[in-house]
Amino acid sequence: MSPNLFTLPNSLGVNDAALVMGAVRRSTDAMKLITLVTIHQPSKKMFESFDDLLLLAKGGRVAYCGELGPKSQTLISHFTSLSGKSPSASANPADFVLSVLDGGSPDEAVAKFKESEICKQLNSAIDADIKEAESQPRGIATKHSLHFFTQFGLLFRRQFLVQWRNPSYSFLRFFVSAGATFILGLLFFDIKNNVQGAVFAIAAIFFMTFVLVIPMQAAVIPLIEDRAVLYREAVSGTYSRFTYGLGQLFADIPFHALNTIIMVSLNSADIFSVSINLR
Amino acid sequence: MFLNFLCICKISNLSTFNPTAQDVIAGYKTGGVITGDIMIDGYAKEDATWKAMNGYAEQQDILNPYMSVLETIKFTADCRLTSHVDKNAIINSVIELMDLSEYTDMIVGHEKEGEGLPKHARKRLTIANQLVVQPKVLFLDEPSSK
Repeated sequence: MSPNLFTLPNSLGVNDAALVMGAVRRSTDAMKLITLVTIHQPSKKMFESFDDLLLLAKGGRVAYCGELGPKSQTLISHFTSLSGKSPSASANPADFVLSVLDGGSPDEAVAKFKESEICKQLNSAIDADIKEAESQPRGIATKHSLHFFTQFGLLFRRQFLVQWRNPSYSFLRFFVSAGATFILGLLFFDIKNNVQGAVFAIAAIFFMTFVLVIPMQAAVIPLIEDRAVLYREAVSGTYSRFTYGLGQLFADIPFHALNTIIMVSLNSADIFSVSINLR
Repeated sequence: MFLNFLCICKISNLSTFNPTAQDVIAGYKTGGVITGDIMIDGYAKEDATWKAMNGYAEQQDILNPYMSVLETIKFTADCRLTSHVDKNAIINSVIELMDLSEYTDMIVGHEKEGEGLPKHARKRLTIANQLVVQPKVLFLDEPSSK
């Protein structure tokens, strides 16, 4: 199998685009890939770095499909025979093709391509290829899936790192808990060491359990941010959505545990001492 | 293999436009009605095997902003490569091919706030992320656009 670049018919600066396309061309050759690219207004140089072109008219009908040829000569001669006009030597072949299509009707181009020698050769090559493939045993790699715990471990590590590097999220949670703790401490300040005080202490613990849920809801913020990444990676089969959720959940636990420890230790002086003394 | 791709476009008569056709073939369209057959090497397309052999780099660079370039590539490699291949060699060769060696330790950053990687390096990272899985077919949706 020879490496092929294959174009299907918006932009980065010229230099940036050249950097990206240069890297694509290099990898395609080095890794013997089949690369399919949709492209918008390519420059002449970029256009000529491709091997083949599939040009689709509206409705997904093929207006051209085949090699570009050296310096796009194969493509240009096909469209020259279609329009009768030939482009200047310095013209961008992509612009020339589009100007031909703009001049005539796309239907005509589609019909002309169907009759052309390129199309006939293509069809017979496809038929031969299918026949050959049907006679051969299937040789496609099966899907690789990681062990659940390995996947979970990787996701947990990444999620933990993300939270560590995004302190604003952890600070938000910390200040919400600290603020709630302070108000709670004021509410139950100086409770007496008797049965009534014990009832107050139980109420305070009950209250605290509820208040602790509020900073936990902040877990939704990074998820909104990360949603697009989750979709992309889950669709491409990097991991399952379930393990992602589990990783997110478990990566949150150390931060919440720390929050809870701070909250409890701040309140322990008055609330918990009551329960301990009563015993 | 290559010719069968042409075949897809010929038989299936997709009533859609170009990037959509690519999405359909690559298996990234979930809505709508797809008619006709999609064949790979003469066999009907199976999602599970197909995912293992193709890479699809979207037009938008969807990357985790808190990870470095190397960590991003390594995460994909760890998730999608089997343990009996030399992951480090693959990662290094992809970084070299994509010319990302000067950015390996840079945090990706939020694109909207202009932090971290420049646009062209983001594009190349998006593609590198797909290459590290060692696909047979690579789809690029408008790699030269913003």
